[in-house]
Amino acid sequence: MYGKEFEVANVLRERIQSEFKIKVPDDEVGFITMFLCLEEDTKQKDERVGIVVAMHGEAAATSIADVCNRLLGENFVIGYNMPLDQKPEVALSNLTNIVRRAHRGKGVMLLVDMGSLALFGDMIYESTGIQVKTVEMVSTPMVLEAARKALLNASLEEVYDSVVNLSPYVGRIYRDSMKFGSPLKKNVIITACITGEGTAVKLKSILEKNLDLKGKDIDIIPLEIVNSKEFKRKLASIKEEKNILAVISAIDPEDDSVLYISTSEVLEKSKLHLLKEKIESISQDNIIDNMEEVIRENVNIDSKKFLSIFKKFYFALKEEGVSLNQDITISLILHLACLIERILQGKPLIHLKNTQEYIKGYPKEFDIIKRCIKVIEEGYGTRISDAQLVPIMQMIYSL
Amino acid sequence: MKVLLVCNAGMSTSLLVEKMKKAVKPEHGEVVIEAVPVEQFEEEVVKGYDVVLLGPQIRYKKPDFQKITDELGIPLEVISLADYGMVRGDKVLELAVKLYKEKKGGQ
Repeated sequence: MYGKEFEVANVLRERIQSEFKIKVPDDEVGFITMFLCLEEDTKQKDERVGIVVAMHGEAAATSIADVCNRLLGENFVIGYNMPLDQKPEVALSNLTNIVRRAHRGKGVMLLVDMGSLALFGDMIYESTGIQVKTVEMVSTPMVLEAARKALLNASLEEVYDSVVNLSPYVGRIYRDSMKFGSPLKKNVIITACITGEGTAVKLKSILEKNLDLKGKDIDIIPLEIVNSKEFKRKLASIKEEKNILAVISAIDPEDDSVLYISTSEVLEKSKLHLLKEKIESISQDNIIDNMEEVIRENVNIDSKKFLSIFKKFYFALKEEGVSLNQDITISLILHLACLIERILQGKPLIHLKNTQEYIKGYPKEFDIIKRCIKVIEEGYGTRISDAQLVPIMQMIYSL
Repeated sequence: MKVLLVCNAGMSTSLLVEKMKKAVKPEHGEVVIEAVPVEQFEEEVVKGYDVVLLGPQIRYKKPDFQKITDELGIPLEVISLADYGMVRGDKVLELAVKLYKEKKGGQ
């Protein structure tokens, strides 16, 4: 079966014997043969199922392909944009060329959005003989799954199955959530070094010392770096189950959604401060959710609705560059809940004396509050008077 | 015991006052609890209170206010964020009682 390899191994034996003046036993020739065959196996790694995304529009397909390539740390997925005014014949011939290029012996998985693109797979198979399987209504998680499977050297059949049977909930975790990280995923910080034992563990203990992580449910995971590609792939697979807040390592994961701190920067206050802020904002999100029950028990309004509107207000402020600490967030939630209750039930409101002074004294701040409060006014179809905005402004800006 | 709660507008603190009043037991004796906005602190604090508690959102006012309360000999404390956020009237009442007893013990 491995006749050729055995022949080469025999030649090698001759050379070794003459070079080192030793006798190489027959068993060793077998070993050498195995090493040569091993090489054969690794060569097959390149024979993966090709992944091609084809969609209507100027950039949709290449965008999705880019996302997947970056997440997987491989330049593997190919995107093909079909502008709306492109003739199907032109698209077909372009795609045929792309499929030829993507085919490495195991066939090609074609993921398309709709229409004529869905028919091309069979046509390309007819004209080229390359096995092409087509899936419609493509989405990013589908492409990601297909590429991931293909990179693991799965067959075309397996890749197809994994895409078709992909849980519809993948990629929907973020639905109805305005958080930066998914609430369902555990928050982690990654520290990494070559062995995963020395520096990475040291970094972990530095972080534990400098960040107040108690009661925050954030894990620090030390990781080893084999090489840059492998490292990125590992991060991508952690990302599937966990929410990575930051990566501290010598290698930049090149992922915008993750805060990257290099090993040498870890002792810099400014970088560490960024991480602290990120941690703070996460626990802030938890606080907002925890307040739902408090509101339900104490204030006579629909607490779920109130908090979803409050979150919009909170993020509107954030966009204006106003970030709130825990004290203020909680106080603001309680205050606004009481205010809404009183307005909805027509109860008397509390009026401060010097409201005009504050409105005149802090015009910029007042403007921001007035703009942001609109989401609450719209949410409840009511108006909140300028006088009532003053205590809110005082709270937010600690005036 | 007369307790003064201070917060921004006195809106959310009124929730806390309700809860605190419900937590009052006979052994506490007569308990009066008032909630006022920050701007009324100075005129209100002189009206014979035993304890002053601040909402966590006006923590930053503590140094200023403490000067006044120290002069008047009234204990002042910031309510913990957890108790305030969860509107735990019983806990806040406990805090007030503790401060009240300490004050009386110190005299």
